[in-house]
Amino acid sequence: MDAANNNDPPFTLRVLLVGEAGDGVLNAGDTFMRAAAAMGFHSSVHNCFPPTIRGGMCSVLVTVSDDDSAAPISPSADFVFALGRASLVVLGGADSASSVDRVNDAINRGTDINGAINTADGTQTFKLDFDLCPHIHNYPQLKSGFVLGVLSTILGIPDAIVLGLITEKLKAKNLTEQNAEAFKFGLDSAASNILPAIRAVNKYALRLASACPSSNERVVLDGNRAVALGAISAGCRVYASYPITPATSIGAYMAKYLPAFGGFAYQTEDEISAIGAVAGAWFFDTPAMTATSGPGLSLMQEFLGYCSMTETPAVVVDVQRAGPSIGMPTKHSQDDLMAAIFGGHGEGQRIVLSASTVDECFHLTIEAFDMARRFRCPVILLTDSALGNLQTTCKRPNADVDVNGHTVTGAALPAAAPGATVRRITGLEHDPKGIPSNTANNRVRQQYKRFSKMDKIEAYYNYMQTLDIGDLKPPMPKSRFAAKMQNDGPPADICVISWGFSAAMTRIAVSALRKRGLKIACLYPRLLFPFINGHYLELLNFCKRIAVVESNYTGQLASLIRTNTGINTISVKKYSGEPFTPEEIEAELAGIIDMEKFIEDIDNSNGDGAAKK
Amino acid sequence: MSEIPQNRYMNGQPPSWCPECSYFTVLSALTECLDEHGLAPNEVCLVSGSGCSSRLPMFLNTYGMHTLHGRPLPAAIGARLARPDIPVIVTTGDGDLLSIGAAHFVHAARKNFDITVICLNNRMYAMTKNQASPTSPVGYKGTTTPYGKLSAPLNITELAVSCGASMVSRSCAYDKAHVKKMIDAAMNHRGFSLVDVIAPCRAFDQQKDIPERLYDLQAKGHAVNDRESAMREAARVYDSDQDKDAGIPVGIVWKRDDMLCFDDQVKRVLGENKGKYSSLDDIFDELRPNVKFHE
Repeated sequence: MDAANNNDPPFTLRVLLVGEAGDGVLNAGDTFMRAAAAMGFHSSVHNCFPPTIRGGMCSVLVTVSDDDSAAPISPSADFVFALGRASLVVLGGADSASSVDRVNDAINRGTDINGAINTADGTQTFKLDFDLCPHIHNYPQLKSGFVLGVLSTILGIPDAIVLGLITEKLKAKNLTEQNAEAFKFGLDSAASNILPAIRAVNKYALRLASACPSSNERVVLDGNRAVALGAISAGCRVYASYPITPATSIGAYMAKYLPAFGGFAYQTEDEISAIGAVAGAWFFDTPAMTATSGPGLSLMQEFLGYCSMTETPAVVVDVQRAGPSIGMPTKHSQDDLMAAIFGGHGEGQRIVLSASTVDECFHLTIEAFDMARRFRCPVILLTDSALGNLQTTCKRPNADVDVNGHTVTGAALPAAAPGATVRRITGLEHDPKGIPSNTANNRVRQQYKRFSKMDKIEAYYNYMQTLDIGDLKPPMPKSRFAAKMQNDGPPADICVISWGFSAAMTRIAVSALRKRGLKIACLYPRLLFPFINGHYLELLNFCKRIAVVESNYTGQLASLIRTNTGINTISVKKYSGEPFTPEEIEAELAGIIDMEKFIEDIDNSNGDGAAKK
Repeated sequence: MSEIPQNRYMNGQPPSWCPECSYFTVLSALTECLDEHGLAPNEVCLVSGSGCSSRLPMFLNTYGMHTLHGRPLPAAIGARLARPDIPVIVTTGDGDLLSIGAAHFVHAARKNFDITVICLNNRMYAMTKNQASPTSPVGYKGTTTPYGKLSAPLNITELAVSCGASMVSRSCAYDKAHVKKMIDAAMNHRGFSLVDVIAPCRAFDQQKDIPERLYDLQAKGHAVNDRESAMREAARVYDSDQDKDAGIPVGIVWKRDDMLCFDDQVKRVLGENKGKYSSLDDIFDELRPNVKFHE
């Protein structure tokens, strides 16, 4: 996009909005994001909850850019709006941590600010004079309109776009006029009090994107909605779930959309009932899905075992949050991998997938149904809180499907006990006809049958793993599985494996590191289980130093890799509840490379390094 | 009583119950009922949980799901949503339905799903060899209650009526004709129907005195659609647990045809939303960035 200025670095602008519940923070963020999208920019809203803002209950980060390489999360923001007690806007913060400090500082000092507070690090702080607008006192949610006015003035967004969105968005809430009024107060207030004092106003101005792709090619989606639409596209006609943060909105979307497609979204009394209903629907070959988060997945484990034993398909989406227990329900984490793969009684075959982008949420949900049909076992799709709630512009997914059709239909493997017309299933061990049997021979045969059908997964779904070797030389075919570095090509500085939302951030970090001249080979697995060794062993062709980036404490994928391949990896982990930013990953990987090179140099100078090679 | 029914619904597998089990009566009554309703084996779905009573679908050649302990109702609801065109019958026991599966029972009854639940109530856990269940009387001696059960029994009839089930009936496995009559009435009912069948365990708790104590509610002219009299008769179930001389009511305790049935509601919602979106493309059109101001 922005063909006019090809030589400019990509334009990226980030706005952090912080406020208490009821201040309209989410609304302002959403409207601003949509305004930028309507102007042709790529934009996204990430719900984040920095714990350091005093009294701040919720916050959103809006990222606007003219290409899609900008990360939706970042340690820095160009503007920080504090809508709570502080009523401030901080411009030009080098990073949002310092802006947050400044907001905290202002709260402590009171908010007697007139004009701008200019500080040496280049930030400017202004008071947001909400008192100008008479309605805000009674309706604090109108602060969102005011803030949008301020943003429109500073960034030069055409009034009509924001007003149009406000009218459309709030027509049901009966505050359209007041909000439009608040918007105008914001516009005027910023024009007279803020705009003249801004030191670098041109830096921020949003130009109307000159080459915005035609509107048909782009949609605004969040991860959870993408999952819901993927499910409908795959033919899901029964949806059952119990409300749980951060998966609840999947249920809301399904409830809204599914009836038009002849299906029904059913709210159960608990997650046990949800997965039970899914199993019951699949019993009649009706595609069904449930979505939940960690605690719900725990409750579903018994039925997952039942589905494995009876070879009943099931699709379960786990929008992960930071556990264990209630943990931090709104926080990002990737700590259910082991639970998804191994959680449960006995040994049952299942498939675990992981999405790293909103687009993948759509497509992997379709794949999940395809795999469930084909392998007749539970398929668990892992997403997470950051991804599920990430609202972003993205390429319109291919929905070339009618109300009765499916985009993807795999040929199903035979069911456990298909009668000529009827089917009878039992969670008891049973013979191939479905009749309960305890004999040793039968047990061995059936257990082998249920597991060995999974061997075909590698052949069918090889494309699920993305190996990205940049400009490194591909390994020779004969040495594909050799656990030995190849001599015919320069080695990589580091190999990186990452999954889920962290993988999306890792891609950005890797691209930055490659620009610094580093050689990196990457593997982004989307099919996490059954574990396919080959993809991981392949990396050894490039370098023995392999880092695994994931958001959990115990390094769950790293453990799996070690268990299955014997490869010892270096874990890059974060478990604070906030997702990795690309900057953090970049720094971690660069640090590992430096440290390893440092050690190598010492080894070489001692004379034994050469012998090792 | 122990006669294995011979009809087109049996799949030829020898039932795993004790030869003298009272459940055979229910099996026989149920299959005769299916026949009288003219249902082919592929026109009915039986769902069960786990326990002696839950083995029942495994002896039949109808659609059958033998699920987890306590979980037949969730699976039955899923099956019902998938196939609203065929009846779904749950065979379960008092431990399955009222202990581990109690939450599902409460809500399935409340939502008034069009499902028939036949509870083979032997007021104890038989498969694990004699433990007290929620319906066992106070003082019941099982292997885990050697000094007698310490708590009062759960009254399944009162519970079902108060949860919102639209039909509640009781029968006793000592009277096959009556069991059949109750199952037939339940299958004819649109909405959640419970048939609580007193079905004593011949191995552990024979309850031999039961037949003399039964009295038929319908013979007595009980007003089935009156909540007060339904609850009054329901309360007698509890009394009969405590007082060995008290009469035990059987027959239809409660039946209303004017309660909201979940299945009808689903049908309505599907009807109202038909054609709202003709394909996913319609939804994606709605999700395009608003561009009408971008001129």
